[in-house]
Amino acid sequence: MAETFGWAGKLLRVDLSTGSITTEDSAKYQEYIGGMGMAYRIMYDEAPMDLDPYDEKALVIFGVGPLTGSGVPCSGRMNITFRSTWSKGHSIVDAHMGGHIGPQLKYAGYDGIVVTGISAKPVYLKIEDDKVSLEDASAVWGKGTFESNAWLIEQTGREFEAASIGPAGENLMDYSTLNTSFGNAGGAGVGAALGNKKLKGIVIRGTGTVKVADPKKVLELSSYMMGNLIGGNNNHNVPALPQSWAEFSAVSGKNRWSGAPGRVWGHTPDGEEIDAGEQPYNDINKIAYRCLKGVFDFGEVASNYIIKSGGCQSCPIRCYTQYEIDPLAEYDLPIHNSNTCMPVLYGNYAYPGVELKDFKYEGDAKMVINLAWSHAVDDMGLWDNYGNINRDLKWFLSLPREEAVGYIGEEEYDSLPWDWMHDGDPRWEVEIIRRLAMGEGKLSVIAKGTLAMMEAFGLPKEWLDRADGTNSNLMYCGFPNHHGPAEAWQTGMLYNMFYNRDCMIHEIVCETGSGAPYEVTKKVMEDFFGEGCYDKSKAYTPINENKVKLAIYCAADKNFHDSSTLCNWMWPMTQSPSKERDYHGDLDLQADFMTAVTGKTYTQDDLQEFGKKILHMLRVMTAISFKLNCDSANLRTEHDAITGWVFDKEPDFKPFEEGTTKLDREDMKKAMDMMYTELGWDVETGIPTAETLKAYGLEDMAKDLADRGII
Amino acid sequence: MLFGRRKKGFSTVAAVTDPKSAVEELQADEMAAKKKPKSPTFDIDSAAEAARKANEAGASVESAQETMAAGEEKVDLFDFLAQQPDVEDQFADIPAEPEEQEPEIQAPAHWKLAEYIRIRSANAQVTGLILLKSEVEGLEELLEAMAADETCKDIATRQGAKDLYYYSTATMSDNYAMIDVLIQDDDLVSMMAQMVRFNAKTYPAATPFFYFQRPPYNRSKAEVEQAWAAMQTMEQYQDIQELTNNENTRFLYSTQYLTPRYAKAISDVDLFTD
Ligand code: SF4
Repeated sequence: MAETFGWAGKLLRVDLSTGSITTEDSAKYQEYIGGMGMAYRIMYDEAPMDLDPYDEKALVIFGVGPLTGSGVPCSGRMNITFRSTWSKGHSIVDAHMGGHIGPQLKYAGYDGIVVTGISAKPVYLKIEDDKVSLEDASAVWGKGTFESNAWLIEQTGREFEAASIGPAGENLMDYSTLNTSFGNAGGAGVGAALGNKKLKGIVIRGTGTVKVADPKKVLELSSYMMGNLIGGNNNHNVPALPQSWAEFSAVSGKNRWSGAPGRVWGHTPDGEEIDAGEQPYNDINKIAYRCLKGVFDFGEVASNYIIKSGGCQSCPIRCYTQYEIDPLAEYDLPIHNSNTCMPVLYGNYAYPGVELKDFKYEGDAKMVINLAWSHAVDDMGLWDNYGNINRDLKWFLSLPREEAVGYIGEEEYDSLPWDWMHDGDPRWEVEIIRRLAMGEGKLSVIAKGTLAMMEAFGLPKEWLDRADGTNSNLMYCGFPNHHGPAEAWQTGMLYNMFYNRDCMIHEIVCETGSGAPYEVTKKVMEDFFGEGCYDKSKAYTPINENKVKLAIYCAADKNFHDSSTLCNWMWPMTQSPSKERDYHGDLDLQADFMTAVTGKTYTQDDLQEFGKKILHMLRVMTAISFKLNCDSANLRTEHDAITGWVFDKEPDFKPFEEGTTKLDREDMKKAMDMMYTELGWDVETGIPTAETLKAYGLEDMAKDLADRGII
Repeated sequence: MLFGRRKKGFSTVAAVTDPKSAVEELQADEMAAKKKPKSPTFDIDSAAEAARKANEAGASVESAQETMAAGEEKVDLFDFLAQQPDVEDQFADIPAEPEEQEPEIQAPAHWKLAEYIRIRSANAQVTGLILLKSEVEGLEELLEAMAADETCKDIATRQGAKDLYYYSTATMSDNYAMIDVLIQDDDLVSMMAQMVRFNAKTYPAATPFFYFQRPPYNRSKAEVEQAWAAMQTMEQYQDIQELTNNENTRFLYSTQYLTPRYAKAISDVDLFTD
């Protein structure tokens, strides 16, 4: 194996059917960077879309990249690629997880793990550098992830990082996750993909290092980033409350730079409050006080329960707030919680129409309920599909009894502990989650996916067109909006179309959510991406070329992040908190880090081309899946069709009127034409042309599509 | 000052220092810093070299792994570390640098004044002329000297309703100085109106009532309500209007910069945009 910088140089292959564990040189995948890109190549080559997602030969590919564990800030992430069982077309999807496990994989000497086969009995994968083994996991099969992870650590040692699936994955519930015990979770149904293989968990200890080509340069770039570019979480570049060094702050008082004077970690073990204080942007020692995500999620009341801020390896932002929610002890529920984003946001949707009562502090009702939800879904290994599970549940629980029993029957309906719901008792949601994860009763079809639920309940396609506050599906594919038109106009709609799950793209919401003045951010965005690319909040303009290019940029950039790996909540460094820089970040920094770490020269343009190549590969595999499973490979009509509410919501407003984020049908048609053209995709079908694929070195895919009669 | 800067009512960490002791504190800190030997600059090359040496000395890392690979009982990390030979501390013998002889420079008196303003700015406080007059002898000459001195160009002023305020742009932003001067003016009605207009014009955004209850304003709910009631009776504030968003949060905005419909729309919280 030739010496290599950044990349570990080896790929681990595990066949659960035979127990075979081998390694191979990973150098041939370096042109795909790693993570997502590497996995897409392997998936296409070795497990074609013709395979059933639960076939013995189906793959689950864990991938890290050259930056993972390299010391580059916010690089502690891991990508997991497999086949969707729940979204339309059953095509290729990715789960993404943070924490420390990805870097451990690198330190153990691997760029990825390719898992195939199905084990005869539950096992876990133990990796300790080059000692790799499959061990019996029967003792924890059926157990929650917290108990399972603790058991895995007992079996191996405290220096290991552990992640496991919960009952949801074991029971092949399509909404399932792989979890650490600190709220880091990969979703998209990876729990079921692993459950099908009887792979309960994975433990990794790596004692090696990531070789870096130019460590001095990495240090220099890192210092530059810390002192000049990095903001709060989502790289928000102004604080939520006025701070004396800052010209601006978020007038709403809400953004992901929530740390402020008087906002505290109020539940520290020694009882001493820790005040987040002010954090001047160039004071690198206070970066970790900026995020205070709990206050962003729940308001000031969160301070009462915050122990500290946790986060991923190599990240100073630390967006996983850790709590002690002592009121839950009264319900015999676990009190410790660590999480961020979706799992903590919509637990209260399980209590429609109920006025939740505060538990201990004024205004803590939603917080306590949501954190009970978060712990329970993590324990059961249940995925929320970016809130679809909460919305679908809320829709169902809001139905009158007569209608609801038509879906699940009287017996099951009456077996639900409704009193707990009406009392705002957290045990209600925990019980619902348990039933969903165990596949218990007809209601549990909600955890098989929105499309499966619609089929089971006989709901028509138009059900996804409604604008009643419990629908966020932008297309008819079973996954919801992720920072789409509401934050990013047509650009957001376009980049939501590429994937087979919610897009997980934060390139624009990092700007629109920052709270900085529109004109300030607009200047930054237009300087980088061209005139007219950046609309004002709820004051949209018709589509133009730069908005289309921006959509493609966002997706290509995210693909690079999931390949290299970098945290897409932080990267790229688009904005800066520095007035001296006129709030401009540095989009080239990620390429500079790639060069410094790997010793190969990368430019931001290279990374964009690389990200586009992944988009083409994704599109090819999606087209094949749709041809096989939906009888049509016309992705424009089958995959990218936009649901009605996107155009029809807010009837008092016309599109492009000040005050709405609704889109215009004709304008979006034009936007899609422009995007397909820009990408070199057929405008009628939304599929890459043979010329485009060849231009990206994907001749084999062009031939495959032609052989299958798709192009 | 470990967590944030100190300002009365601004942080729970500590009460603000009085002006005189702030300067004394600064001087004491400087003296203490001068007495301390300078810590060696981190040099990545020598650190890497030391790490390499340590690695050679501690070849037993590999042998421990081999032992483990041979299937023996796993070595506890702390036991393992305790068994390791001591590694040379690369910084241990670096002699403290001789104390630098600071050349005797007679600092001009107005530097002290500028430094005092800077310290207060770093503590999130503008400095009023009235306060300076009560504290400093020969103030006028010092202010003139300060204004003429290139090294004091960071000292800026802002006129308040009752006083002129000084701040350092090196540590305080102009907009924050505006906010702090409004706070010093202590006219809640005027402050609220000005900030509501500023936010509507600059961001643009409507201003939630609770904005004034949070730092650095820290006004009570009752005070804010009272001020709003008073504002509505005053001719000059008729552009300030109230709205309630879709989550029952109340806001103020200025019709000089925002239409009622747009102000409401951008104040409404959109679902699933987290
Ligand atoms: S911002 Fe949050 S998710 Fe991203 S690397 Fe940091 S801790 Fe992890």
